[in-house]
Amino acid sequence: MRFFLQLSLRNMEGGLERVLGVVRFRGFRVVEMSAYSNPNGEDLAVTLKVESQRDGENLKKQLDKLFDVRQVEMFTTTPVPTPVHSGYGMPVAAVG
Amino acid sequence: MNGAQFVVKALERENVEFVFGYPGGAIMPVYDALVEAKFKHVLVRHEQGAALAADGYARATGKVGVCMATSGPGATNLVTGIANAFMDSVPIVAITGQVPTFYMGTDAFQETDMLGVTMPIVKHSFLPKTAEELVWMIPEAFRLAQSGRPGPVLIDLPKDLQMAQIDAPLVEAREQPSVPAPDASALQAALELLEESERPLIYAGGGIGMAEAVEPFRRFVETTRIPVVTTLKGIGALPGDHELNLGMLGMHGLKAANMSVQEADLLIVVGARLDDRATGKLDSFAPHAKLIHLDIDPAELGKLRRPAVSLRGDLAAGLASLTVPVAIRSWRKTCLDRKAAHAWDYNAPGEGIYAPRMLRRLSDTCSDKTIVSCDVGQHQMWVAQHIEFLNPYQHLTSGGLGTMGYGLPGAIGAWLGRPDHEVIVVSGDGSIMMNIQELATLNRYGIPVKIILFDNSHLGLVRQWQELFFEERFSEVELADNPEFVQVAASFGVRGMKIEHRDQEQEGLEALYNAKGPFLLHVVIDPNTNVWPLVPPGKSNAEMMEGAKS
Repeated sequence: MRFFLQLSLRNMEGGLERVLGVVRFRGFRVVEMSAYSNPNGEDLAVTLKVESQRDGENLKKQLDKLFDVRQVEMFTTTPVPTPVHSGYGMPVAAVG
Repeated sequence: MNGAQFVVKALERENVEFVFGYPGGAIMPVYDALVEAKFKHVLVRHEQGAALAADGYARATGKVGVCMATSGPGATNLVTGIANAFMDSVPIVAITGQVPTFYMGTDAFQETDMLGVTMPIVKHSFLPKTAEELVWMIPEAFRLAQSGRPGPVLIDLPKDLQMAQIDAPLVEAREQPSVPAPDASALQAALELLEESERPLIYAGGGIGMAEAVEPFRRFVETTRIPVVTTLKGIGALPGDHELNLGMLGMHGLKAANMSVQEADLLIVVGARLDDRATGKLDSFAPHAKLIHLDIDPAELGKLRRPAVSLRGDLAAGLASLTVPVAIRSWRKTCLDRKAAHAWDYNAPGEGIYAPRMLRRLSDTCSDKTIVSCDVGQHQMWVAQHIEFLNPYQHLTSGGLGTMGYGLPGAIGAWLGRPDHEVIVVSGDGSIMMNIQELATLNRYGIPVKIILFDNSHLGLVRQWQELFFEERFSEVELADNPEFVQVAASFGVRGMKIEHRDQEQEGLEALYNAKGPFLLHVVIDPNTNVWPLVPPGKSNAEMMEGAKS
């Protein structure tokens, strides 16, 4: 099953890496990803499309525990395209 | 002041009593500042010992344990201890030296990407890039280690920041967010389930002790009079000799505990994560039971089994709301009759020492001022089965990670945190060798930890599995070339005694208790003695094996 995660992160040392590590360890595979920093570089808006046989709600709860994660939302259909927060617009990563 | 002096002042501000560590190049400025520290640095002989001692200190006291090492191998040697704390939700702060920021990423001498190495085994990790960031990162690390579900936090500290000037004042950590009481409608639903249930059972985990909810938990048990099973980490939440305590469940759980779980129609899971060693094969675990699951960590609710009611939040508040009498006289009698029918039998053939009986004898001498720090293996399971603990903090055991070598450094941390307690290590001949160098730490600081070393000249639990599940094809489990442990202890300045026959048990225990300083009691046991009962891996808890005592 595929679904989308939309995250707002503190753009601290290793923040994006931590998110991707949790996604992998909890048994999910990234299908698409985009990440944009806000103009002052303090925050990142990340959208992930992931797939797994496992329950996405459990992944969302694990991500929500990360210190770097300010907010995480899960969608089963394509979410509103990034940027979702005003001021985002500098892509730092995009794969798909 | 420089960054290193600031770190020391910030640790003092956090009321740190002990830092367990080992110096080296990239952390030298901090070690220089430690000369003036108000807290004590405990020099271990291997960094793994530092992390595990910090863990033992934290478990025994409820405070944050602190460990420190240099970059590269010093830092990577902490990793097992950090993982141990992560798996068992123990609050520690690990401080590692790092090469200067201008060398980072160049494969400099003793450079390891500790942020990357530890990422999956910490609650969070900080890598400051300016000295000013230390001002908020250190208190935040202590706050995070203790907040919500506790765990380890790493601060990786580049050497140039340790030497940089800081003019900022110390700050206090942000206030811990208050833990909310569970949702009122969910509590109401839980009460309805309790009222409807004919065969309820309490499944008590390590979260009870960590949440300081032992008293409300015991009121809940005394009022509802529902029988209790405990996880390995839940041992002590209810006194071991309590009438309603059916004992530990799971792979080496008690028969009465496992059988009752399989028959229950309602499990009230309190501060536990439904670990596979406790549940056995998950789809046949407690097949008739609905779950009420209380935990502070929302990610544990529904992770492995969907509860009928999730009670996320403060355990004490949740338990208080469920503290109502329930009418389950017949079910209670069934559980207690089963407990009596499957009580331990300590008769064993031969003249050798039967470890379970000796531990039972030890248990009879323990008080609420005794702490037992276990290693990992057969002896760990025997401790869980046969010592009746009065409180959770008295039983230190590496549950989630199963770290051989935990016992001795864990005990060092525990005794320093609670010097008015008798601290006993129960170890095996495999485990003790994993951190035997910490005998030097006992001697250096005169730490009066007592060690009971069960020696069957084998890696006993692996041997048991090879016997039972690998057609007796014994592979690399025989340790007949062990050193003479009493002599090894003596060379570290620790006195000891060796016993081999059951009529020496009492003499050995008396020597252990009467020793003024640290002491090692070397106990030779039969390698054919297995741990029973045993739920084979991948099987249901209903499929317990039992065997001869040999």
